[in-house]
Amino acid sequence: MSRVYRLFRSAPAYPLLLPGMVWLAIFFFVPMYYLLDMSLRTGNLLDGFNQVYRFANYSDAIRENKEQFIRSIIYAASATALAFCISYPLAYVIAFRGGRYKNFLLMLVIAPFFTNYLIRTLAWETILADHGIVTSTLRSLGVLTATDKLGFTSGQRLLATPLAVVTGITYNYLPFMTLPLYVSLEKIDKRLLEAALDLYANRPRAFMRVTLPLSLPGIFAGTLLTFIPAIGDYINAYLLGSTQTTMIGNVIQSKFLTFNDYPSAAALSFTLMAGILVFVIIYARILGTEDLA
Amino acid sequence: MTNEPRGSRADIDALAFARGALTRRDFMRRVGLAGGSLAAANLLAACGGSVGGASTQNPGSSAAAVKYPHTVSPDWNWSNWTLYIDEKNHRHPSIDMFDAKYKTHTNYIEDINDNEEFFGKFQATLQAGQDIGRDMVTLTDWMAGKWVQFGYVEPLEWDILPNVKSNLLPTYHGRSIDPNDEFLVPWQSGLTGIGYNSELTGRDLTTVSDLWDPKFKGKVSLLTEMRDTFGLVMLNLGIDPSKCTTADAQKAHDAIKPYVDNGQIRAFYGNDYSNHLANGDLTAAMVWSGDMVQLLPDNPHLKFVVPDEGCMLWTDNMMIPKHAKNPYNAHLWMNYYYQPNIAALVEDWVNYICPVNGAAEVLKAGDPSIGLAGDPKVADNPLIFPPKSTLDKAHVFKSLSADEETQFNTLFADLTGTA
Amino acid sequence: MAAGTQVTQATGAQQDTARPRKAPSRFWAKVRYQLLNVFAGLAFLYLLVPIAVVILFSFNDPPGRFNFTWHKFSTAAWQHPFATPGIENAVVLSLKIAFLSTIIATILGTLMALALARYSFRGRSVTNFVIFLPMATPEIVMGSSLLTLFISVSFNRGFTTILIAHIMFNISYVVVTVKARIYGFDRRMEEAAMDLYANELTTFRKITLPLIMPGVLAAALLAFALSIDDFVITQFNAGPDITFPLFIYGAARTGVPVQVNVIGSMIFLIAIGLMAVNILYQNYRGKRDAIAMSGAVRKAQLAEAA
Repeated sequence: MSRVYRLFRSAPAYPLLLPGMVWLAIFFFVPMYYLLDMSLRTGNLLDGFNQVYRFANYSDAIRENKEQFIRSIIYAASATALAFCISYPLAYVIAFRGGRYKNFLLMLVIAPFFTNYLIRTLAWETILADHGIVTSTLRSLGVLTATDKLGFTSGQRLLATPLAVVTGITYNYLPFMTLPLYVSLEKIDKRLLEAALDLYANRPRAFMRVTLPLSLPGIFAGTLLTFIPAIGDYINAYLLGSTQTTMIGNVIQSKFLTFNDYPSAAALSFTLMAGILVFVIIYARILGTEDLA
Repeated sequence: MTNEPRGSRADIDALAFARGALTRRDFMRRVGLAGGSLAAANLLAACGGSVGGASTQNPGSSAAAVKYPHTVSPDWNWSNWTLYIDEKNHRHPSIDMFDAKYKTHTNYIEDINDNEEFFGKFQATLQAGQDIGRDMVTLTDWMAGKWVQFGYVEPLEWDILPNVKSNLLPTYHGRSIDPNDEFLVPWQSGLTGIGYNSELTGRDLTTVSDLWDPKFKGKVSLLTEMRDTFGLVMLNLGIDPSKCTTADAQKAHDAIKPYVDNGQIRAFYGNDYSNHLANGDLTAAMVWSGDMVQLLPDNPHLKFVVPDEGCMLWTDNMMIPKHAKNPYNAHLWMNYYYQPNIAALVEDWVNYICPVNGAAEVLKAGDPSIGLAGDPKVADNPLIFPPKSTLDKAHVFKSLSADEETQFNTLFADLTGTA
Repeated sequence: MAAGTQVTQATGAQQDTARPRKAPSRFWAKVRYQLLNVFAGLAFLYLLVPIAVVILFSFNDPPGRFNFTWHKFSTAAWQHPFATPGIENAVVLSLKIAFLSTIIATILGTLMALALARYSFRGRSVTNFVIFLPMATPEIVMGSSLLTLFISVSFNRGFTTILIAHIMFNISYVVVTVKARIYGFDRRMEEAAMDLYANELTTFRKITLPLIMPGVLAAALLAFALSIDDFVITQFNAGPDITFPLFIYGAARTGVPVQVNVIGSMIFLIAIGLMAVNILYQNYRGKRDAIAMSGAVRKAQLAEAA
């Protein structure tokens, strides 16, 4: 290694980092501080919000919105599970059987990303309408009677039910699941699979022993990338749901943007953030992925 | 329109007092904020604002009360509710004619979908004493009253509003939300009642109780406007919404709650109920009269009914937000709209209740000079120009105190699932 | 992963049925094989049907103001995509924000990526964490905390605040995308250049920049796409301004005009066109690197690696 290059390497990286880091500091981290600060205040816009370190804002906000918190967790978890069930076979087929169409198939997966999020969700509103083909087909097949009994739907309809909301969330975040799965499956050495088949002589066992463990980083990334945005989502519940399907995002949004109840909205938002961080850490421990920064 | 002055005399007094008190508090707050480089400018603005507000004791009569520079700006911004002005080939003829006449460009923004939401979007800015980028906004009376009360509205210069002076229907003068006619000019009024699809119901609906018919389970919606939903349900319970208390709101809440819990009520909607009524996702809903009139041509089975127990009446008002940059343009528009033929042109499309005297006559006869064909069907429509029998059943929700509003909203939020 | 490190080198793709094996039944193996393909087909259907609906309804001619039920075919909206009042301003604002935020975020992000990929320095892992965090935060938390900041310091919301927010959430994606590209190229070229020219700036301009350019471009495209699509963070920080997604949100209350579908379809078709060109180009160059195709893929990969 040349001396000049050594010099080059040791040249300070900080000036390069500075502008971006300052931006993130001011507009990502400082706002978090303000969020925390606001969450402990009381008051209203007219008289101002006074800092009184009222920690009860948290217990109040959580108590009043327990239902929405629980619902958000259930919906986000269901959507993540559904997305996984859809994505894994999909990613598997693209990675192992895609051949020269791999790129094209991947493009199809990403394609929905390129229509606006709201337009996509509105399209679901059209698809799931009470008098639409999907609903009437499922109704005549008796599927809706079954899902009504399970509490996924109600009143022989899809729109404005939990199922519609979860369908929308699953759809909107599906690529976040498929792509990491694809990336980790793609990396697997095909000869390793061959060896595994020789060793275990049984396809399902070979899959369980080799393919699945090797795709674990993809599963980890995919579930997180789906679950995190899903739990804060409010558009799907707003457009496809009903009063019985409001999520914590809907509450935060309306408290912040409609009722200007900043302290309790901030408390909810901060709780959500903290909850997710704790969840990510525990999840990382369980899945044993220590690579997480 | 028999829009009786709402609220008692005491109510009005309290409001006037509150306005004075708030102006002072507002001022103090700004002084408190002063410290940054913006301080001087803010302070000046604050002084100017309170002086302007205080000097208009006799609006409409006193000539030199308020005075804005009489220069037309090349551009001005007006926020209105969606689908709330005449439309032809994706243009708004009334605005186009206005722009041509005054050599200006009206930036017509349809960004009001909900009074609370719109207020929420701008309150922080208004409270900070800054321009919200709108020269005119159109809000429902209770919300307009709130803006007036908080000092968020610029006073009107009546000298340049001769048409409003002569053509505003008398019942609109001296309303409790603006007792001295200092700030508000009505845009449209409307009724809140019940809309339903007669093909799906198979029968006529006559009262709010009909919404609780188990046959319509999951096919019923109420309104996101707390006053409309609580108002109609209170009437159904025999409570007068113009005199209601928090206990009454609790009763209304308790009457609705079981139907939220059992899924009878599908959702609480703003204007968006019309989508769902039109495509059959809803069978019956609490609705606004004008929307139903507009929906009828596409959906002959849709019907609007004033419930037997009565309906709600409200008014949307044009007003100039504090520190607006182009108040003169807004005045020009108000005055322009209060010509009966322009009001008729708007009315022919909007189909709510018109506050401009003489609009019905023009609408019946038509006015070729502005491309308006005679439309007796609209002019004779009892929902657009309602007869006395309808208006006798119409009620106005009372002005809530800040505490009441919080309590009412909390009860309502429990219903909409965003408590 | 311990098992992963045992994989020494990857060779070309081989079908997993390349060799016949002793199976309970050939027939069932075949069914199982096809079943997976059918399932993948259904998944694609699920992915693409809504898009088909969006495009189909852009050719609708609804009788009233609701574009929810199919009425009859018309190209009227395509001929006049900006006919709905307000939509043009919204699209123009979205484009402005997207351009500016893309340029600024790409510059800031690329510099950070260079620092991270090139230098070993104290605080490196902290920096990585700082960059990772915005990608792991729900939009509603980012949007609401920024809003709280602007309210607390009485900063008027509008164009500036939208721009600030978009640059903020774009930076991380840019860093991650560009970094992956820098790791991918041969540093000896730079060393050679340094020996020849002995000037950092010249080396950067003549060697480094051209080499990382595809990564920078991919990052810029991703940033642009993220910006033009963003709703949540924008809603919290837009104040009186209306971007295209905010316009749709408002219109959703009263019936979305056909023009919304038209513009949505246009953006979709342009993006797909660009991607298709990119794929063809890569295939032409014999590069079958799927990762390079799209920043979205790369983001996923990096999030995994992070």
